[in-house]
Amino acid sequence: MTRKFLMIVGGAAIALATGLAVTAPARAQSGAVATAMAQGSVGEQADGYLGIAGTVSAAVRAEVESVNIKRRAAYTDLAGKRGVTVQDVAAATGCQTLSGRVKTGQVYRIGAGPWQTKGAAPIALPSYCATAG
Amino acid sequence: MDVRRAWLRWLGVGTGSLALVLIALWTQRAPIAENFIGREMNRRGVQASYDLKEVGLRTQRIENIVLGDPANPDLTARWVEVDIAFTSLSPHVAAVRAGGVRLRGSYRDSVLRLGELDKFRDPASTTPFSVPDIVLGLSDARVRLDTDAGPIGMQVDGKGNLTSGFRGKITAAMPRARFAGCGMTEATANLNLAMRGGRPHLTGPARAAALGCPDADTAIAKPVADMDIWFGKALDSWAGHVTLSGEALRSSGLVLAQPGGRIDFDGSAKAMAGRARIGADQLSGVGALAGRTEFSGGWQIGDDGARVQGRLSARQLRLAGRDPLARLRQSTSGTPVGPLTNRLADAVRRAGDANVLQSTVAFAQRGQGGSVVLSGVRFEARSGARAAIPGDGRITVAWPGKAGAAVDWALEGALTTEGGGLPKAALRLARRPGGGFGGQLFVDSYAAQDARLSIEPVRFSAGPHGDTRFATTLRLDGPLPDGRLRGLTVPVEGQVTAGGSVAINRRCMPLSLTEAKYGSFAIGRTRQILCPVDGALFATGPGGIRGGAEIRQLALTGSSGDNPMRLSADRARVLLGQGGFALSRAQLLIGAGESPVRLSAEALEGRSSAKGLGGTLSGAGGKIGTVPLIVEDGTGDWSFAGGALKLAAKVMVRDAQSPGRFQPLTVPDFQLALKDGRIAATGSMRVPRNDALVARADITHDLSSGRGKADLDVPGLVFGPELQPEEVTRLALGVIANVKATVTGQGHIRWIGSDVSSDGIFRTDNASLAAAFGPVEGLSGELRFVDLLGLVSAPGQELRMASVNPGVEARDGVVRYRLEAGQHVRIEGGGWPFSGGRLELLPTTMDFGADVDRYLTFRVIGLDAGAFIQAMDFKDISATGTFDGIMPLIFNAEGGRVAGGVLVARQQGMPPLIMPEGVLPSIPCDPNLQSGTLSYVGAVSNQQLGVMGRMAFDALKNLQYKCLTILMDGALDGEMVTNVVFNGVNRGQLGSAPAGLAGNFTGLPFIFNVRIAAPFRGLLGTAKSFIDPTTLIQNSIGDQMQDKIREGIAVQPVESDIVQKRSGNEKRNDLGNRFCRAGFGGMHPSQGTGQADRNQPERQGSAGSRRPPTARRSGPYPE
Repeated sequence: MTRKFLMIVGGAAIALATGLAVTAPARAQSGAVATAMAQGSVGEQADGYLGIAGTVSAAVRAEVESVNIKRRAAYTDLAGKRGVTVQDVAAATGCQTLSGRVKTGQVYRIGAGPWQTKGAAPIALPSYCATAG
Repeated sequence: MDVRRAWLRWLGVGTGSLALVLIALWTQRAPIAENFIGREMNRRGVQASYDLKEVGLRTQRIENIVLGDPANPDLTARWVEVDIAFTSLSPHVAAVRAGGVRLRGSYRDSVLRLGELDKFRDPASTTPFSVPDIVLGLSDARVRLDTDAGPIGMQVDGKGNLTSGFRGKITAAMPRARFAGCGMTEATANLNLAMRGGRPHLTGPARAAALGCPDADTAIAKPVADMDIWFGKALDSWAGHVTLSGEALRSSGLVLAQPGGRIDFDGSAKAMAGRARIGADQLSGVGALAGRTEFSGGWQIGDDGARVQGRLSARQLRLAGRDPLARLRQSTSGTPVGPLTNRLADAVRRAGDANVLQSTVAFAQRGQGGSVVLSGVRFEARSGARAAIPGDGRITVAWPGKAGAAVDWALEGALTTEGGGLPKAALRLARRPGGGFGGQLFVDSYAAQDARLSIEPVRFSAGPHGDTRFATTLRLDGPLPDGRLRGLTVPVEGQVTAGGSVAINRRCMPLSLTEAKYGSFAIGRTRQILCPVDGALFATGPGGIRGGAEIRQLALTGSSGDNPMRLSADRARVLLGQGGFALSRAQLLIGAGESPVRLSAEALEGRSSAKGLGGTLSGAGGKIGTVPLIVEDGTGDWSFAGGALKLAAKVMVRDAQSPGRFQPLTVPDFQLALKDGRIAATGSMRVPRNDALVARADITHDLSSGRGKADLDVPGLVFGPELQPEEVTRLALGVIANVKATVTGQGHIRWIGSDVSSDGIFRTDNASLAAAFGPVEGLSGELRFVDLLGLVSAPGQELRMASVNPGVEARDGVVRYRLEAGQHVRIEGGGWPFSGGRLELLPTTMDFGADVDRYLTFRVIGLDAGAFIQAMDFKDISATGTFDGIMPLIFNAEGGRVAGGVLVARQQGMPPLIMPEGVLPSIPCDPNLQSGTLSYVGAVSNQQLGVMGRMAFDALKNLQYKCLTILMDGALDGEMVTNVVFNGVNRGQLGSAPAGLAGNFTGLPFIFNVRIAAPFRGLLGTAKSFIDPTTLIQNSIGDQMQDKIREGIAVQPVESDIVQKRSGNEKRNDLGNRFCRAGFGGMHPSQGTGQADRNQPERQGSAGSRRPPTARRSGPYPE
């Protein structure tokens, strides 16, 4: 994936992140998923989706998948309007999420890397996020 | 009695004060003869004025007499004449006549004060009162006395010798009197006074408008006392009678209509005696009524107290109300004792007509203590009802009672009842020395219709503290609605304290039952422990009636029709005063085997009525046999009438399986009826949050056959922003979301015993939803279940999708499938039109019960190669041809990706290449057949290509290919890595080829291996823009997007690499071989996107015949 493209998608991602902040992720962070996120067993991924970082119940796993389905639907919708890939919209949104919406103590993952816990310092975003932001 | 005496006192005061004046004159009779009047007055210091009109020897007359302060005189008289007579020369007053006498005085604290007249009295005199022997003439003499009770006025006229022959009239009036906590209004008396032999004889009536004594809670309207009394000479004794009457008397809750009577008396202030006959036309109070009620007898009052004895009779004695025991009749209606209380209530009602009660009464009061003794008590009614205390038996009530009790009572002898429908009973009690009673109560079995109550002889025994204990055993047989109760037996122990408080069964007792049948329900022989609540089963005392019964760990076994039944409860309780009964944690099991019908309630309250039993319940639940629905949290009403047990409640319904196939639903209108071994239940199941109707259920179940069915009707379950499927079934969570759909259908569950079958048809039309593989629009189809509970469908179900977009939108697809057990979905087939050809879905099975990858493989048939190559936006490329191939997809929570997709150009005249699934076949490449053309005429981006590279691009300018294979891997929604391998011959000059090598040739065979890294969806978007340029114009990203696309699909020939690798063991002309060969050396997963894991087909195949996609890496072409 190229930086140039991410730069382009960045603008869209900002709008999307705002939109998602009040739709799917807002729902995501209620109930069991919010608890799991607080416990560090569920976290945000740079690809724009929630991931399972630890051991979770089938119910939480289903909730996470439900959130991801809704996110994917939203990403697909935006990607269709922008004529870019869903993956790009998702990744751009992931950049926004990691830079702004992961709270201290929550876990996150970049790429295939290990799950990390957010400390006081901002998350070191993947390089492509710089242009996207 | 007090009233009457007060009257007498006032009369005495009136006449007495006049008498005093006369006495004063009489005692001074000698000086009068010498005009003693003035002298005496002076001597006594009496302030007086008068005119001496006539001083004769025989008669002296004074006029205008004023005694006392002239401004406020104590006595005035218009005139007074005194006749003097001489006996042996000593003068004495023979007669006094007075006219216009006005006397004022007061009578307070038992002291009479007459102002100046008091000076004529000798306070020290102890001479007994006697009437003077003078002739007195009074006309218009008036007296006003102020008394503690109020002012009283009297007028006295009369004349005659005071010792004998005097006749006068006394008229007295007292408008308002207050005395001793009583009040009287408009009291008047018209009395005749006659003197004979020195004794006054008073006759005439005294009456008042009303007399009331609020402190004593007694009042009488229009009392009249008609007197006829002879007084003694000294006014210290009296005899005669008073006839009393009034309109009504009310006293302490008793009301007497037309009270009246005559009291004869003879005696003095020290002792009186006489006879009395008093009665009333009607008497009512304390819940009873009586007609003519009368007492006649004798009485005595003296220093040693008062005694009354006589005969009391009352007629038409009855309890208040048309049906006195209506409440008892009502409260026991429908219970086994109903016929008995009916009979008793009838007997009591009929005994209240045409009856008479007679008794001898003896009353005695001495000091604070007293007693009433009733003996010879007999009650008889026309109905034949009789109650009596025969022989020497008597009832004694004495006060004050022992140990602070208000009264003591005693029954000596026997009290018997019989006849007229009353139970035949005899109560014998005898007082024991300690104060309690000993004795027995015999009651014959009391029966009515098919009910019978047997009471074993009740034994009474005296306790240590004046209390009485009794014990018996009750046995009841009686009817129940559509059934009967047999042999209900319970021992009874009771205690009556000296104060009259009763307590029954203060400890637990065994209760036994032979049999109970209620409709089709029957309970066999059982024994339970009946315990008191609140101290006793039944208790009366200062706090009123209290008590109750409870059975802990109630466990009844029986049958419902032919089916075994078991009713249990942690606690069953009946509370007096509250009516009805309550069960906690009640459970009813009906039916044999492991799956009985179960109905339960955390709390159940009920009462009995004529219709049957009924009440409310909460925490209700239940399960009907093997029906996999559990009812719980029910709140509502229940009834048990006409042989039918019915529930009408708001309940929750959940799946008996865990985790549930559906979420708990509310059923606000749950109705269940159990009658004749059949259960019928209905209800509409709704989503708790918003009451959306999910399904209507109609359930029937036959207990004896174990056969039943449940019909579920889904009239229109609407999913949308208000309701998502995961609220109905958690199976949907994480599988689908954003659902907009209307689902209709019916489901049917049938069972015989534990053999359950189910089916159903559900359909939706034009639904949209989002799934892990992307959004779906225009989803329509019908789903026919052959096992609804197991979520198994018939084969050949079909879903049509207007659009599905896993990153690549595919339109107008059809999927044929079958739901299998364990949330497996068997894909039977399906297809989408795609780029001029078709994508055909190959059969597979997907597991939705586990979090695993799901494999879908599409066979590509007849894809238009030109369109597809062009879709890659090689601006300077054009191509023709037709593709066949296979496109294995892996879907999981992270979307879909292609793993080892292969597209092969169809050679001229060849049939479509049907690619087998799972095995990469040898791809036929007939060098004699053409497939299509490919032409690349654009600039070459990398001028560092070298000789071979430039030559390759030269060849690409116009290439006719024989075989072309596209290998694809990568995320559908992201970057796709595509390798295009093709061979062919150039049809133009190879300008860049080294001279002499190939420069002048056309038709040189080439093999190309091109790697393209491109966003697949971007490619297709571009392809679409070829067809519909408006898309480009509408594209908000515009030129930048075009840059992106150009960059994304930049051609990177790697042919030199391939050529180098292969040159060691292959010759160029191998390209002319029957089969094409291709390598994968240049094909790499994309780098730098952080998505490597999503692009790696790491998963090993899981389903059946599936082969790991990585097997493709061995290479598509056989060596």
